[in-house]
Amino acid sequence: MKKVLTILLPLLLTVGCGGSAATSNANGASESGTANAPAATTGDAKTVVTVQAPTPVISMDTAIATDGTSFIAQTMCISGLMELDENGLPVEDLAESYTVSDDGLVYTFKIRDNANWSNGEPVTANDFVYAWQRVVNPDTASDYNWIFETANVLNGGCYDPESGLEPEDLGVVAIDDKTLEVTLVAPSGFFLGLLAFPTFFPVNQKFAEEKGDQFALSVDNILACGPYKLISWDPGYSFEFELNEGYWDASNYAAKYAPKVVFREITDTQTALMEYQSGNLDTVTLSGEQVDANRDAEGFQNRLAGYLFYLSLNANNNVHNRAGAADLANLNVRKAISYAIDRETLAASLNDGSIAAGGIIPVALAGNPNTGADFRDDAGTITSYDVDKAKEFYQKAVEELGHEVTLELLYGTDEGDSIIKAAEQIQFFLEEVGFTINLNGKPKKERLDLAGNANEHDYDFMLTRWGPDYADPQTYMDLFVSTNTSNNDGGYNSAEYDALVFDAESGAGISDSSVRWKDFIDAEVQLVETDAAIVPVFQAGGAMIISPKISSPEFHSAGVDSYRHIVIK
Amino acid sequence: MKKYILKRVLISIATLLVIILILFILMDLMPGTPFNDEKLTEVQLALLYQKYGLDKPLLVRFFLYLKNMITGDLGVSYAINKNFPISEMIKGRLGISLMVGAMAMIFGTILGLILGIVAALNHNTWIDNLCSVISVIGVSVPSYVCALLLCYYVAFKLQLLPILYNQTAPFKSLILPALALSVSPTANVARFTRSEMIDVLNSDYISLVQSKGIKNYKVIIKHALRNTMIPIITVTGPLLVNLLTGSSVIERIFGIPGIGLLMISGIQQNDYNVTIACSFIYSVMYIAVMLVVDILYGIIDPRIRVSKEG
Repeated sequence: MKKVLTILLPLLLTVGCGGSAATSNANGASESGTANAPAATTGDAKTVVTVQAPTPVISMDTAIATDGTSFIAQTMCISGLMELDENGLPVEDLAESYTVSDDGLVYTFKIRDNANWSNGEPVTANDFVYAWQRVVNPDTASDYNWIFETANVLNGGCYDPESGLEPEDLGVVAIDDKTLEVTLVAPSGFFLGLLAFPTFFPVNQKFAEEKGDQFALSVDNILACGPYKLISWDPGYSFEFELNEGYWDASNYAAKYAPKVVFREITDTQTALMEYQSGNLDTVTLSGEQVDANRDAEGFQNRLAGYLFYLSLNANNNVHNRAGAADLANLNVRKAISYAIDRETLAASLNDGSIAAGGIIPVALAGNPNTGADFRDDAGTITSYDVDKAKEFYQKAVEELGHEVTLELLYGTDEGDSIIKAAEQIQFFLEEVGFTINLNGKPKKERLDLAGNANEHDYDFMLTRWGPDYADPQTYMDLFVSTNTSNNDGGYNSAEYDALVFDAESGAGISDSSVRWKDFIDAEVQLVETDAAIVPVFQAGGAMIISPKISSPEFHSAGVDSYRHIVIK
Repeated sequence: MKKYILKRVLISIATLLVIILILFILMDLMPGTPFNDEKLTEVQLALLYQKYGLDKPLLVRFFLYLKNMITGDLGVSYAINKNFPISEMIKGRLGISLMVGAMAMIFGTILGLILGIVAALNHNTWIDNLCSVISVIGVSVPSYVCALLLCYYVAFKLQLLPILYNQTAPFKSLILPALALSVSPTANVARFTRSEMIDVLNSDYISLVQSKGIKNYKVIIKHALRNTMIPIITVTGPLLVNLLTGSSVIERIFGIPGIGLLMISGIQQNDYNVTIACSFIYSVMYIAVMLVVDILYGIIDPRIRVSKEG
C-alpha cells in the first residue's frame, strides 16, 4: 500500500499544478521519445512483427467487409486469383496463368494445382463461382454487390432483385476444377487489379455452408488459402497471423518473410506512440500534432492515401428550398468558392502528409494505359487559388442575385480532427472573399442522412470524401453522372459530362483506351473547371513511423494495403 | 427480507422492460442508419434493412427482441463486428471491464478510507488540509489526464508496468487503468469518510468507549469506522456501477477491449443491438447494486430495517 501511495501522491500533486501540466506532459512524451526509440530488443532474432491497427477488423467475411483493416486482415490469410505487387500492379497469385480472348471479353484462369485451403482441400474454380454468386445474392446483402457490374462482368446487375436476373446468371463459370472462365460485357482495364480485391476472393462452399451463420466469425470458422493463416482473433484487442505452410508459395515465404505478424488494435495515438517508442510495436500511425515532433524519427514516412476530400455543392437538389442551396445554382457563386480556397495552405496545415487536390482524381490512382503516366500528370492541375478572381466572381454573383451569399457547410465531426480543421479553414477562406459561412458539424451517420436521399438533400454544401474502389478514374467519374442517384447528392446534371463519361465507358472508349483516357480528362475539366459542380479540396495523407527493423508494408492508393511482404531485417 | 427481495426483483424486471421499450423508441429517433457508408445505394440499403428485419414496425421489432432475448439471443451486430452475435461480443468484454472496475473500486475504497481516516484523526492540521486538497484534485481532474500521466511516468519512463493492456498478464497490465479510474472514487470516499468520521468521533458513545480505556485503534476500527460506513456505502454503490460498466476513455487509452468502448461505438454507429444490450446490462447492474446496498445497510447497522417483516 505504501508503494502505491508513493506513486499516487506525487502524481496527484503534479496534476494539481494546473490543467496545462497535463497537456505539456502528454506532448513531452512525443518530443523526448524520439531519442530512445526504438528501445528494448530481445536477445533472440526477431520473429514476430507487431503492427498497430488503429481501427478494428469489422468482418473476416470477404463478402461483408468494407473497411481497410478488415481487407488487410483478409488479404493476409486469403488469396485471390491475382495479388498486387509493390507497385500496385496485378500479378498471379492463385492463378497460375490466364488468357484473354482477342476482343478482351473472355478471361480464362488456370488455378494452381498446389493451391489448397488450410483444411487440405484444393482451391477449385467452383470456390470462385460460389464466392462471387454469394456477393451478388440479395440474402447476403453485401455492401459491394455492385462491384461485378462496375468490373463489366456479364449480368453484374443481378444483385438488384428488380433486374429480373438471378445470382447464377453472373458471367463466371467453372469449366473444370481448376479452370475458371469470366465473361465481360466490355473490356476493362482494371479487371485484373480488382481480382486482388477481397470481394473477389474464393470461398470454400462446403465449409461455408457447414458453418452457416457462424462462417468467418472466429478463427475456427475461417479457412486460409493465402500466405498466412489467422491463429487468433480477439475483437477489440488483436488479430494474429502465422505463415501458412499449405500456401502454394510457402517455401518462398518461409525463406523471406516474417514468420508471425501480430496486429494490435490501438485507437489512442498517444499510448500507441509510447508503445512504439518502448519497442513493443513495429509500426505506428501518427496524428497531425505528433508529426512535427517525430519528423526526424528513423522510419518516419508520409504516405498518400487514396481518399479525396471535396465539397459537394447542392446546386440542383434543393428540395427543401434552402436559400444557400438556391444561391449555389449560380455558376459565379460556385466559381468563387473554388478560387477562394488556398488548397496548398489548407493541406499543409493538416500536417499529416495531405496534399492539395489538383482535380477530383487523386494522385497515383491510375496510369495512362499507353504511357503509364499518372492521370494527374496528364490532366494537369485544374484547380487554382486566386483571391482576386474569387472576389470578382463573388461580386458578379452578388449583382446577379441581388444579395450577399450565406451558406451552411456540413461536415463530419467524428471522422478525424483533420476534417474539422479543414472545415474551419474553408470557412475562413470563403469569408475572406465575402461569403458568410455557418459551420454545421454532424456525426457521420447524420451527415450522410442529411445530404443523402433519406432527408432529400437537406444541405447547402458539404465537405465529403470518396475512397477509390479500383485503380481507374471511373471510380470517381461515375459519382457525378446524372443517373447516379446514390452519390450525386448535389444533383449535378450536365449533358456534356454525361456524354463524355458514356463515351469513355460504353462508347468509343471501349475499343480505344486512349479515347477513354482523353474522355475522362475532358469530363473532369467539365465537372471541376467549366461547371464548378464540385470543389476538390485535398487528398488525404497519413504519417507513420515504421521500425527500421522491418521492411515497410506496401501501401496502395487504390486497393488493399499489403502486410504480406514484410521482411525482418 | 425474502419477500422484500422478491418484490424488488419483480419491480426490477418491470423496470427493465420499460427501459428496453424506451431504448427502442430512442433508437428509432436517432438520425442515420447502422449502415453509414457513402457508397451504399438505395437498393443496397433496402436489402440490408430487409436482411436485419429493420423494415418491420417498431413494436414488432420490440416483441421479437424480447422473445429472442428469453432464449439468450441478443441479435447480431450491424456495424461494429458485422454479423457477430451480441452475446459473444459482450461475453468477452464484460469480464475485463468488471475486472478493471472492481480493481479500481478496491483501490479507491482503500485509499479513500485511509485518506479520510488520516484526515479526520488529524482534524484541522496540515495533514487534514493536504488530504482535502488531494480529494478536491481527485474529484476535479478527469481520469484520462491521470491515465496519460501514469502511462508516461510509470509505464513509459520508469517501465514499471506495461503501457497497454496485455492479455497474457491481465492483472499487471490493468493496475494502471484501475489506478487512473480510482482517482475519483478515492476522492469521494475520502471526503465522506472524513466528515462522517469527525462526526462519529465527536459523539457520546465514542467518548464512552474511550473513557473505558479501550485502545485507540480498536475504537477507530471497531466503533467509529463501522458507523462511518453507512453513508460511504451509499456513495460507493452508484460509483461501483459506473466503474464496472467501463470507461470508454480509459479503455481507449490503454487499449482494453471493454464494454464501455463498445457501448459508445454502438451509439455512434447506430448499432442498435449493441447499444440495447449494453444499456440493458448497465441497468441490470445498477438495479442489482442498489438492491445489494439496501441489504448491506441492514447488515452494517441492524437498527435499519429495509422492510417491516425483515
